[in-house]
Parts: sequence; C-alpha cells; structure tokens
Amino acid sequence: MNALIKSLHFEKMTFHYEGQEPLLKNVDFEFPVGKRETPCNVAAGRALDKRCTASRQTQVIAIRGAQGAGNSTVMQILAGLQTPTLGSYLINGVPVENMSFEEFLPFRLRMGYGFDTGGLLSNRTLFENLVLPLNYHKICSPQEAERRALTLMERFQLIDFKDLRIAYVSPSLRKMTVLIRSIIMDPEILFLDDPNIRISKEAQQMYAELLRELINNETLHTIFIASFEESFFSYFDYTTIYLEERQLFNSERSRQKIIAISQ
Amino acid sequence: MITYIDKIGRLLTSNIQYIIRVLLMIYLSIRATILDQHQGLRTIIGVVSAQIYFTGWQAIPLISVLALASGSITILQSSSELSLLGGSEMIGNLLVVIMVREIGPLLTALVVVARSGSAVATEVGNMRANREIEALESIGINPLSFIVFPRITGGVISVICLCFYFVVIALIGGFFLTRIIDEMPLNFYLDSLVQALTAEDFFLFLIKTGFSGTIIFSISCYQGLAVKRSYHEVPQVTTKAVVDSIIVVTLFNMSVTVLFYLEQLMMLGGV
Repeated sequence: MNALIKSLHFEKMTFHYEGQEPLLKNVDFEFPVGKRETPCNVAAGRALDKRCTASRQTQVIAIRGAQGAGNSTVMQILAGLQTPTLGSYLINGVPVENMSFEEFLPFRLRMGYGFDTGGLLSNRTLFENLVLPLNYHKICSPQEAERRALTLMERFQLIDFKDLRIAYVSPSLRKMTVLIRSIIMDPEILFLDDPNIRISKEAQQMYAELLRELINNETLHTIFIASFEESFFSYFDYTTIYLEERQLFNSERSRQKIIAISQ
Repeated sequence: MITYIDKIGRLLTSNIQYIIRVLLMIYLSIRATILDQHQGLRTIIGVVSAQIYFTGWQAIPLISVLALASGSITILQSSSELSLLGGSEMIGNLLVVIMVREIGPLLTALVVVARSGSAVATEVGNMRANREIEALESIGINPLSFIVFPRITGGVISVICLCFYFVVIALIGGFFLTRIIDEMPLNFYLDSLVQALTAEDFFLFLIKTGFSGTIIFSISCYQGLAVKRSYHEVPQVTTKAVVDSIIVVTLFNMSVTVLFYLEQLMMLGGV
C-alpha cells in the first residue's frame, strides 16, 4: 500500500497562543517520516534467521522538551489541529494553512491522534465514540466497525463499560478509549500526546504491546510520541527530536552545538 | 470630541466585524454540509430532530402559558375599547397586527433565546473546552457541518413552528378564556380574523420567525465556538450569546416592522 503522507516539514514556522509568548519561533525542520530499513541483526527476533536480509519497520519518534515547552503543540500542528501563526507547515511540499477542511481531509484520515486530556464526545458512549469515525467515513461496514471496536475493547478490558457515557467512567478508561480510537482507522501516522498519563503501568504495557504489533503493520509508518516519562519509550527502538529554546533539533549533539553557537 | 468619534468608530467597526464573522460561519457551515460527502442525511436529520425536540417540543408548556395570557389580555382589552368606540368588527385586524405580526414572533424569539440559545452556547462552549471539537476534527468530522448546521436548521424550524403554535393558542385559546367575562360570538370573532389575515401577514410572520431563529442559533454557536481553552469562559460566552441575541432579534423585528409600514405609507403616497 502506497503511503499518502511522504513528508512533514516546518518552514520558518512560528506559533504562539493568543496573548502568549511564542512556543516555536522561526523553525525550519524536516520530520523523519516513513518506514525505516532495519538491518537484520537489529530487527527483533530475526537475529538467528540466516535467510533474513533487512526489514522495514515503523519509525517511532519521541518529541521531547521541558514541561510547557510546546511538545503537545508540535503534535497538534503536525496533526493539523493548530495552524502556524507565521511561516508554513508543509505536507508533501504543500502548505497546510492554505488548505480547506475538505482538502486536508485525505491526510487527516491517514492520521491517528491520541489526546493527552479530553477528546471524547460526552453525549456518546465509549463504544459509540470508537465506532463514530468508522461509520461516519464509511471506512468499513457497520458490522465490521462494531467487530473492530469490540475486539479492542475486549483486549483492553473496556467491554463492561462500553454502553456508558464518558462522564460515568474513570479518567483511565477515558484515556484508554482515546488511545484505542487513535488506531481504529488504521492510520499511516500516529500522534500520541502523553500516552502514559492517567493509565496504569499494566495498561501502558498492553498499549505498548499493541503498538509493537502495529510496527510490522503495512500501513502505519510513523509514530510520534510526546512524553516526559522515560518508561513508555523503553518499549520501543526510537529516535528523538528535541524541543528547546523554541527550536527543534534532530539530535542531542546538534542541539548543544547550536545552543553553544548562539551563546 | 475626536476621542468620542474615535470610540463610536471603533464600536461600529467591531460590531460590523462581529456580524461578518457570524455570517461567514453560517456560510461555511452550509458549504461544509454540501461538500461533506460522508455526512449522510440520516446524521443531519438525527441532530436536527434532537434540536427540534429540545427547542420546540419542550418549550410548548411555557409558550402555551404565555400565549394564553397575552392572547386573552389583548382580546379582552381591545374588544372592550373597540366596542366603546363602536368598531367591534375591527377586532380581527387589531389582533392580526398585534399577535401575528408583532407580539407572536418577538415573544417566541425571546423565549427561545432564554431557553435554547443559552443551552446551545453552553453546550458548544463545553465541547470546545473539553476538546470535543478538536476530537471531531482529528477524526475528520467538520464541526461546522456536524454541530453548527443542524443546530441552526433545527432552531429555525422550531422557532417557526413554536410561533405558529403561539399565535393559534393566543387567538383561539385566548378567545375561549375571555368568554368567561366577555360574550363575543365565536362566528363573528372567527369571521373578523379570517377577513383580516392577508398574504402579507404570512410573509412578515415567516421573515421574522425564520430570521430570528437563524440569528439566535448562529450567535449561540458562534459564541460557543469562541471559547478558547478554559471552562471559565463558558458562562461568559453564554451571557454574551443571550444578550447579543436579544439585542439583534429585537432590532431585526423592529426594522422589519418599520420597513413594512414605510412601504405601506409609500404605496399610499404618504412619504
């Protein structure tokens, strides 16, 4: 299956919330997107397979910065939920800020977004929240949508609460539902904003297991994770993008070098 | 003096900007509904009928009381004054002017602002603060076609139907209530009403109620969507939605009446 989203790029991009200092200032950054070639000896479980040459695995990218630095904002801009104040955000070389909702929709349908807080419709049950995107966009038949949602709810022990509205369930169940919904449309790119908060260690591990299964999935090619907690990253082989001084850096070394030059 | 003019200028500009933004939201919601190929008619009808249920059906007891009270008072007062002046046959004309053209549309609109405009502004504002609007966007559902358009459509239908109900209850129910103390024959009363009703009355009725519904629900949705991130903004936008809706609806009703009578005067050669 051919990927629709081939590149994500910030071009002289500045972003600030109304009446606040900029969180990102004049950022030029090309995000790594797409499956990466993994040498045979690195690919998990393949080391002893002599026929193995190389595999193509989903990239896991950590966006890391100090608390309040704008990690979530970067994710929201990448998912098209915020538009840059100045400059451009380009998907496949096309500026997103000039696109209408309908023009951006094909990209949107290939993205999954796991909110850090909120993000579920309060007048619907947990089950209805999960099947809504599938049924609305007619991604599959209503029976298939139901099957997909119930399978995931069963796996994450949400099945007993499926007919309850979100106000009647605990924050951890809501968070789990948001995380499940982010992958229900079989996305190409997954954005997870603080996926480890409000859920137990066991639930974190179960979700990480699911993501590890998806790493070998044909469609999903990139996972962006914004989190302060080291523990969630320990489940993956990941690369880091640093957010510091309102800029994005590819590696620790380049970050230190640029900061040293600017000082 | 210049500061004073400056203030007036700013006030005017900000109000014009406000109106343009609301109109733009209405346009974008209609456009989004037409362009949204995924949103089936069933989804729209579902939300529209829920809106009609909350705005129209649930308001019936309150509207009934108001209609009966205002209808009986107007019939009683006008029939006694008209019989003193010897113009009892004019009762139909007077009631049509007061109830169908003026009081009915305005009072119904004010009730809807208080009951449903505030509810819609609060609901949409909470959805915004709870990141439900963002969630809809993230799953590829346009909030303008999913939230705004059905509420405006349902609101307009509700206001038209409620006002029709108000007028019927005020004119018929009010009449039966006044029979306790006033012995006006039913045939005479109905005949006078039918003679008085013209196509212009229906036109004015539809213009006033249709636009009032659009004004109330578009301002309420706009204010709800204006919430940025915090729950503390919700009561503020709700108050603003109610106040703005009342002002705009009253001004609109007044302007339509003035324009209508101006046209009548022009036709008679009075202006």
